[in-house]
Amino acid sequence: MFGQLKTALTSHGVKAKALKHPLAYELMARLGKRVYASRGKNAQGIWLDFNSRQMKTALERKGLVVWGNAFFPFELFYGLGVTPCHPETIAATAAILGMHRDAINCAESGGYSSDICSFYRCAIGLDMEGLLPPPDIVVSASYLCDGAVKSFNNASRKYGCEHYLLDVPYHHTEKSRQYVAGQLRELAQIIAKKQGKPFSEEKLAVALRLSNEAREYQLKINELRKVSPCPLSGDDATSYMMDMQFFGPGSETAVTFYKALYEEIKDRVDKGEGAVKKERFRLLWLHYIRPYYPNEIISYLEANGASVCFNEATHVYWEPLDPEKPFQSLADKVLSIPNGGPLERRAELALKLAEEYDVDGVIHFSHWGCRQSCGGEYVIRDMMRKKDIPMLILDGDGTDSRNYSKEQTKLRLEAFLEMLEARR
Amino acid sequence: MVGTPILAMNEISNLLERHQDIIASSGKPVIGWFCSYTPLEILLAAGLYPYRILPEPGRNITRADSYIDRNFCPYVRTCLGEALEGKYQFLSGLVVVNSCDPMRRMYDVWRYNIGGDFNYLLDLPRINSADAVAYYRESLQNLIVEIETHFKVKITDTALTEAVKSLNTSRSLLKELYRINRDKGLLLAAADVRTVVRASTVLPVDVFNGLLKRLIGEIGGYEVGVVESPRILITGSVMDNPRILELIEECGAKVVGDDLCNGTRQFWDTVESAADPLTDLSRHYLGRTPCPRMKDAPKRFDHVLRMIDEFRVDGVIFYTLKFCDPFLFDVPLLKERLAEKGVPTLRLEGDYTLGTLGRVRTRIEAFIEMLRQNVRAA
Repeated sequence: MFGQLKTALTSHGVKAKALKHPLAYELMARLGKRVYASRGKNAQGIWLDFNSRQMKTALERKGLVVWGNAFFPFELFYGLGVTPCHPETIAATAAILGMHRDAINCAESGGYSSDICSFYRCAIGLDMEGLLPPPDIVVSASYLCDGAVKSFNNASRKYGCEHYLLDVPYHHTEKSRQYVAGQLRELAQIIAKKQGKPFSEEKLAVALRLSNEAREYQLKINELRKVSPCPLSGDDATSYMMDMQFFGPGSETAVTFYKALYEEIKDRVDKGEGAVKKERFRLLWLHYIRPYYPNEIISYLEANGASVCFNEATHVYWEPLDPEKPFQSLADKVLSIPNGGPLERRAELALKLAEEYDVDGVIHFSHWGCRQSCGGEYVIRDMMRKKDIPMLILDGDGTDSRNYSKEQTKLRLEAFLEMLEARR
Repeated sequence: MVGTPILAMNEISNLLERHQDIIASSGKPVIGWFCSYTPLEILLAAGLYPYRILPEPGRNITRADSYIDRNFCPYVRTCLGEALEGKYQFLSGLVVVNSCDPMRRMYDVWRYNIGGDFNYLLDLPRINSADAVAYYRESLQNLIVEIETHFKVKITDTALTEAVKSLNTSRSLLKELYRINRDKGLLLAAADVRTVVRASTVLPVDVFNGLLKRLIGEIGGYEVGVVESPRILITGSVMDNPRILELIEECGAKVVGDDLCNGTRQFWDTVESAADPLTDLSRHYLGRTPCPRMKDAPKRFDHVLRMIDEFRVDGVIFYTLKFCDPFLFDVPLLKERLAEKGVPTLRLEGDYTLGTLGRVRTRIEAFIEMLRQNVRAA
């Protein structure tokens, strides 16, 4: 028992120590890209390389280090040429690397309640352990969840730097669009001033064009996911593909990434390959995330012939951006997110996706502490029921493995699949 | 001093108990509200009857279980539970503020399962910039248009100015009550103070103001008492259960002040007249002592620290409802600020049931004992 504990601590300590060095990320980038490419997963390799290099640059303190959250339009950052850092990705990656427990314990012993979303608890803990690159400015958008407002604000106070909160209204109107656009314009000026160079609208237009290019590939990918068997595994869709949608738009890499992913998927479709060989059931996944620590949710489903053929997170909900009107069109992108505004927006999209992807059932992953998502789960389930689409509300946690019970989860999935089988 | 009858207090309690009759006899359409950021001035100016939905603890919380996730703000779950049982059928509408995730999802779940003719979601910026004030002013203007259309009324600037004046009177009087109660040896128990604040959210504003004036006058007439018990300030979200306050006072301390949603945050600042009424309101709500949902958290910490000085507080009790994220994120930082000032803290959590009490008694007793030793040592 003590031996195991000691080993675990040492390994966390060693990992934590190594991950404070930029070189570790250089290594991760190179190795990762090569390993994934050799497995025919170029896109995932590009994603790892992209993230590792961003971490490396941020740790080397090259450029202006800007922390941003998952729902901020990153096109603005790439247009400005800052060094972005996104703690939510790092928290998920920590779970993959098995470093989440210590980080979460660290945050909790610092007074953060275990009722708070574990991604933020984990990110805060990693930061307390000195694993996040210190920011020059912290930016977050207010519209998806309260946690993003609060955790980013706390970080800015810890570092004594500015927190720019993009305040996004509930209603999508001309007035709210102007309000958001005005803030984005103001933020661009603030950042340019910190960089000591004039803000270039031309560079922002380039970022918007790149974002549009990536969007086109993403649409093509999503179209191919309608094929049976679904060519993309739910595991991939709910991890690096979703992550790239959050933090990639506006970068050249995002275009390369989506192009590579499209080619991979196209190839699989041509060969008739899928995540599940014989697709018995097609499922829609609701919620942005899934657990990132070792777990058997999606692998269990796939082993039983159920493919998670689509997830709401990777749906392209925004119109192409207008490089001539960068701030307005980014404001529109922000204001049109399905999980913002009235619940009908999200629920109706879920119904539409269920139909378009010809699914047999829906899983709402109820991530512990995610009020915005879990608050609407029963309404969505009821709306699905009226259309005769079964929906499972699966309680779980994206980062805190203490809230994951393998057996219990398996039982629930088993029962759900049996029910789907009985309906055939 | 103990047991001294305070006539105006009894009257407020009686009227509070009969508030349903008062509402019925007013003949006005009643608008339910939840968040202390609701611009009541607009509702009053429209001739509507604003009613704060704040259920008693221990009510119907499980009724909402198959309508909203259980790991969710217990205030919202209780409100929904009661609404599902038909308790709010007397309402003609709802104004919900987009203050936090639970509020906006409650608005969704309420509309879907309970319905109603007039359900309005009011946007509320989290920042206090000139643009945010302008945007919020637009939102208020839009609320006015919707109310005017639905209830076929006209909201004039004169009526708004009058409403601002009446509510400012309530706010100033409540603040005066806290101060005079402090100066008169805390003649009013903390639970009574809570009853007064509750009355301010369900009784007609003029009736309430009249009673509160009498209450202040009555307390002012008493001799100054001496308080030797440790003095507590409560900071938190919504206080669901005044029994907690009684419990603290039974354990030998006095609750002298608060930083609560249904406490000082609701009335500490008054609306200043500087521009047109809507601009004044917009500036007021975005600039008032903030709820943790606003970006400017340190401003709330400053309020807590000022209250500590003004009310000579010995210890602070954090009392939050479970799953209240905005507050939970503030806890470590506020605790740190208080520790720097040498103020001891205790953290309690409520869940809108009565079960909390038994579990926390020992912790409250230990905390008060510790404060007592600190007071003696000083």
